[in-house]
Amino acid sequence: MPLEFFSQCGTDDFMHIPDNYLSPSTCAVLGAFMLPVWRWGTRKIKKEFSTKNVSLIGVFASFSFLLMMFNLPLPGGTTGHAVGATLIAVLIGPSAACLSLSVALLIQALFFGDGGLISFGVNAFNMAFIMPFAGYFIYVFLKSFYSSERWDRISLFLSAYISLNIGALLAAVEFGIQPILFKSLSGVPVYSPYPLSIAVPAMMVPHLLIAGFVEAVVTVGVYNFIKKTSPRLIRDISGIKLKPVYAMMTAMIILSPIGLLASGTAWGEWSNSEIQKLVGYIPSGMSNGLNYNSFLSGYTVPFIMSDTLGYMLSAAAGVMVIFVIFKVLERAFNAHMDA
Amino acid sequence: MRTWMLNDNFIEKNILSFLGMFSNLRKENIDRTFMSSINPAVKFVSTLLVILSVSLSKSIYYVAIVSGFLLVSALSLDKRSLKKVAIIIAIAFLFASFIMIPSLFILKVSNAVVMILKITVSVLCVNILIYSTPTNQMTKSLKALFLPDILILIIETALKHIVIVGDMSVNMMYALKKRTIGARKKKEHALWGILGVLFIKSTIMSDNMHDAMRCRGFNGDYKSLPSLKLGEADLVYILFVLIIIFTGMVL
Repeated sequence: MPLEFFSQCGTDDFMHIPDNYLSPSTCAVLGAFMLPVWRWGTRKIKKEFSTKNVSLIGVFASFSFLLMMFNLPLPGGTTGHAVGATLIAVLIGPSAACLSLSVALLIQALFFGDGGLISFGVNAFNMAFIMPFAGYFIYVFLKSFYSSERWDRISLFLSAYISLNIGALLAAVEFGIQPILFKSLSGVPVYSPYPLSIAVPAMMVPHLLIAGFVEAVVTVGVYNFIKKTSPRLIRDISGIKLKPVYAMMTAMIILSPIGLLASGTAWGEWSNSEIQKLVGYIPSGMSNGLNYNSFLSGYTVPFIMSDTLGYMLSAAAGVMVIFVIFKVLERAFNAHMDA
Repeated sequence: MRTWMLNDNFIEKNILSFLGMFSNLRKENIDRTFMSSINPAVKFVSTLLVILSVSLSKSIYYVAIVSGFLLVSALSLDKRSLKKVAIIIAIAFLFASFIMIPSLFILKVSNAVVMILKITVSVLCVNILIYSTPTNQMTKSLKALFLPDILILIIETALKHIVIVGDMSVNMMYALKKRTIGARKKKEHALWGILGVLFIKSTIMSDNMHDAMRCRGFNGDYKSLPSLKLGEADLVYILFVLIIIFTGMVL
């Protein structure tokens, strides 16, 4: 029974957070965030010609639901599910996908007990809001670099992979902040007891290594099939403006000094002494091995005294580096295609 | 060739999970028991409140009291539903233990036992609601949470289409299973075809439904009217739930 049970656990099952893993206040905050999103969505349905949207969202909520049910064979005899958020966002648009996925998640919670009722707002935030919007805009952003069939597929693959991992990271952070925020008087965590140092790797390793690829493969596979058999159903995204994405990036750069509020180092950026504290010993390869100093060590620019400004400049520099890498890749790709 | 590519267990597994899903969604008539006779809106709100009070409570005694109340409620389900709920609870218990037990050894100070109990109790609470409420009444009970009517209509549309589109996918999977002879490389590629066809059919169905709505003069106004009549069973149930919540406040 247990072996059969674990082999039946889908790769996205950990993202449907059941009740009581998170505090009701966490659920309330993220649920409150989703309320205006849903309100805006339903108002939009009513404002525009309603029947078109009612049928579209109703039918695609059922499609999203079924997509999440499909088992895909994985190495080792297990099976995995995809969330399909990026696929649906690319096919029907991110706003319609957000509502369709929300309805699909509500049906899962209410009729199948998959994901909690109180934690519905959290699940909707991670999987019905962040994932489709992130996946869609990453796809539009990547696709804007080069227009070819192969780059289209690569962009879609990357956007699906990244968006699922963003969703998983959010879920991990939601788990990880529980022991920091909610403790009993004796210091025992009241909800999920694992700190960020355990929750993030426990959640991210399977998603980075398996679930992300499942999501990406399903997304590209289904998209390719539809593009070949019924190309008129593929939405034209050539006119999509990327201003909101750039605005979001700017906002993130401006908000980056929030990191100064966090105590301790970022996950994975531990010094040898911190590793010894966490693991109990320093792996021999690390104690004598490569001592890596980052380009902007400690995220502060040496000649700038203010930490906040340093943080902002470091974030901007990081974005620039990524942008340049993509530009170089684009050139290399163009040269390869021309040759 | 790797063995996982050769076996077609995933097709069988998909068919089974879809058939299980249909049996859950097609329950329009449920055997008359104490739990099924309670107004769905009352049950829905009570379920939310009980889960919330369990979640807020830090006392293991309170969780034990609620689990006792829920076990008694579960016993009033019909035999088949009771069996299904028992299996789900066993799986939820194992899953919660799998997640929480390591915290006892890693963190030394942990709330693993209370967490496992709380998670299992909330899963039991939701499943009593699910297995004692017909599908069509469940959507109407959402009105108790002031959900807009248009959203209730969308949920009802989605539920109906899950059965229709699900039927199509099961038929396609049966066809795939029957027509597959011998070993085939990259068998999972057939799934893209099934999902792609489902998307195309969904688009056609969405357009057809839109046309049908326009033909019938539907202008977007939809009134969902849940039954708000309360019987004796409802009052008894409300009383018990209130006692449970009050106990949670005291403990």
